Amino acid sequence: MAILGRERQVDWEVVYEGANGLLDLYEKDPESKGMNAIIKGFRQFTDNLFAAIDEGRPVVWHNCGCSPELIRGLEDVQPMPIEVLTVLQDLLGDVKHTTDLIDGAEAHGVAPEVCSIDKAAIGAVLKDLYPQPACMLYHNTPCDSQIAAIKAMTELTGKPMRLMDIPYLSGDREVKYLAKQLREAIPFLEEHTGKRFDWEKFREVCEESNRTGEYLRDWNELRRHKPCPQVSKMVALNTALLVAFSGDPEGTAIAKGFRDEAKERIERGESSVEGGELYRAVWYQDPVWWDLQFYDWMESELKLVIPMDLFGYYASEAFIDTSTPESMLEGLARKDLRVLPMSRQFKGPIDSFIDDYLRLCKDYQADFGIFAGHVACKHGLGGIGLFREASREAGIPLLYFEFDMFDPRVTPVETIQDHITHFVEDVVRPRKEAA
Amino acid sequence: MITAGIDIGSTTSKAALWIDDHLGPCSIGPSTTNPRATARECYEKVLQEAGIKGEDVACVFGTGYGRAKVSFADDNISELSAHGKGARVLLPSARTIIDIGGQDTKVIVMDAAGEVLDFSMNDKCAAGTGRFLDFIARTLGVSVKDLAKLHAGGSHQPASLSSMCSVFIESEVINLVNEEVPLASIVQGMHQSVAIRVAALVTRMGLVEDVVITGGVAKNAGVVDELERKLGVKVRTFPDGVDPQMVGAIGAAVIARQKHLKRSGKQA
Repeated sequence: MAILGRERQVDWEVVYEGANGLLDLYEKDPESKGMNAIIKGFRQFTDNLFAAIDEGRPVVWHNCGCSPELIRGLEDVQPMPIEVLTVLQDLLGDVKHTTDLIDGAEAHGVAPEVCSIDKAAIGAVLKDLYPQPACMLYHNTPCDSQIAAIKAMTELTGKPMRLMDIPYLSGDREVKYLAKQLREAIPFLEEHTGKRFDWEKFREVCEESNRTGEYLRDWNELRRHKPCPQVSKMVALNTALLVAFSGDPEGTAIAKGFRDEAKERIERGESSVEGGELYRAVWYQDPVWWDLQFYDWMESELKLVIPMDLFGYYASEAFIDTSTPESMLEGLARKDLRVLPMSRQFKGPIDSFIDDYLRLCKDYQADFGIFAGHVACKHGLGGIGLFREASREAGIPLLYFEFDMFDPRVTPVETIQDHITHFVEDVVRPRKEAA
Repeated sequence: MITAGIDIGSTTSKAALWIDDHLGPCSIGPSTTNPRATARECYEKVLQEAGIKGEDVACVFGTGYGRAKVSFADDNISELSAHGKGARVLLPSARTIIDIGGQDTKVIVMDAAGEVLDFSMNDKCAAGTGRFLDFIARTLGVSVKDLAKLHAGGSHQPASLSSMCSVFIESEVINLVNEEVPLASIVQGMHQSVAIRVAALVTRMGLVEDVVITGGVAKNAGVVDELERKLGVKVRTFPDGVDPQMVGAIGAAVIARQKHLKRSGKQA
């Protein structure tokens, strides 16, 4: 394996250096608790992954639709989301490495219309940047592109893979259906990792997941405050927290950092926008992960803040009842179906996708909505007409544009800035002035 | 109170006066490489026509691509806001404004209260713009002003133009000419091609009636005819024979009045 031992590939080194560089920037700033916590968390995740490789502990791959608590129920097993390198590279490292991986996957024959994060993940496998998995555990959410990537990865690695079927709806019947599949996945994981599934450990993991969730719920509430106490980019990071750190004390520390920072800033009467916010928007669909400074630009140039987005929103159905093995499996199934961003909104009838958006606009007192359509999320983009109708009916202006959340070559940041500037100047500002 | 709007577009520059809540004189001329001088020239024309001097004008707003170059303007406003406002003032029932200019196409959706609700722009591709019509008219060896006449002259049998790209469509048009396809059919096909592009933008925004067209291409009855066919609605025209190309400048003049009143503490 190419990244065994201390000889890490350049891609991982760039991520690691990026994390260290950002920590140098933020660590001494007492007001950046949330950002500090998640960057530390990312670095810790990388350390844990390398430690597992060095120590020969099994690594189990999973995807962003599959929360890692079940894998954490096994002793000494390291979960690894297949999107991890792309996300870390875009958020901390150098996006050029992501685009190289995308190009590598396309050159190998992966269809261009496959999501860029999936192409980059396949590119990472092709370049031997990921540790070989003992096995892989996936959900067939949030999209068809991910299923295509999962199949490609199974073929490329030749490792055992279990794909859980996520039903169209997410009622109690569907929760039980998924919980049954989670139970069936346990012997699969035990067989291929050679590790025992410990129900007591799983209970601790679920309790940790609940603790993280409690902080995130508080944090969601605090961000409703006007003016918004924390910078916009924080909300874009929450999905990374859930996918990589659910059930891990590191996740609770990050969520606490988010919550504490928001709480303290409200107590001090601070706004995320220097000079005061003028506009608030709910950002829907996908964030601009390849340029988090873009959010700083919105705040400084337009006085526009994003109090909440689809990735930051933490639905309240996440609590896992830890009283029995069955209740834990059902609780985890419920979280997978009804809470994980994208998995919650991108499957089933579009009504819940739209309802969540309208609720967020109301709860967070948004002046308008931004539907940032990641080009591969066709299942989301397909509903734009209905979205537009619902927004108009609710009297909430909606800006729609297309871009790629992992690949800046599709829509450059300047174009996105133009879209937003025009919309604020021509639609939002006149309305606020007229009000 | 007299206010003025100066619209410096990619092809033409326009000036309009708004006098005591009514439309005053308007002027139009070609855009040049010196937008500052062009703006001044258009402005002088309307002042002269109205028999007033610059100091009689309470507020001047610039709009269009060259709005920042209107050195004597008090402020400027985007062409989206200007066209939206201008269309609504002239035709209060207008909800969807299609502005087909020399360089881009915009679809502006207004809410019932007259505020811009949404918009969509084609500013990356020449197809479906006034410049595209100029280009093809040149290829056909006719004046752009004659396109509507040619369109109306033949039975409605538009030639099929498969390409959506203005570069490739030129060779298609040349082929059709060589095949002796009637000029009227080629022109109708070209207008249809523009209408398909624009209708796609409108449909994406969600069509809300009444629909009105602004910009220079609005004067081409052939494009309007094809657009009505594609959209399945009647496109409204502005009352009192107002030139649709002037709507941006008129909107800027109206916004100038509103802003001036607001700044001076009076109601708009």
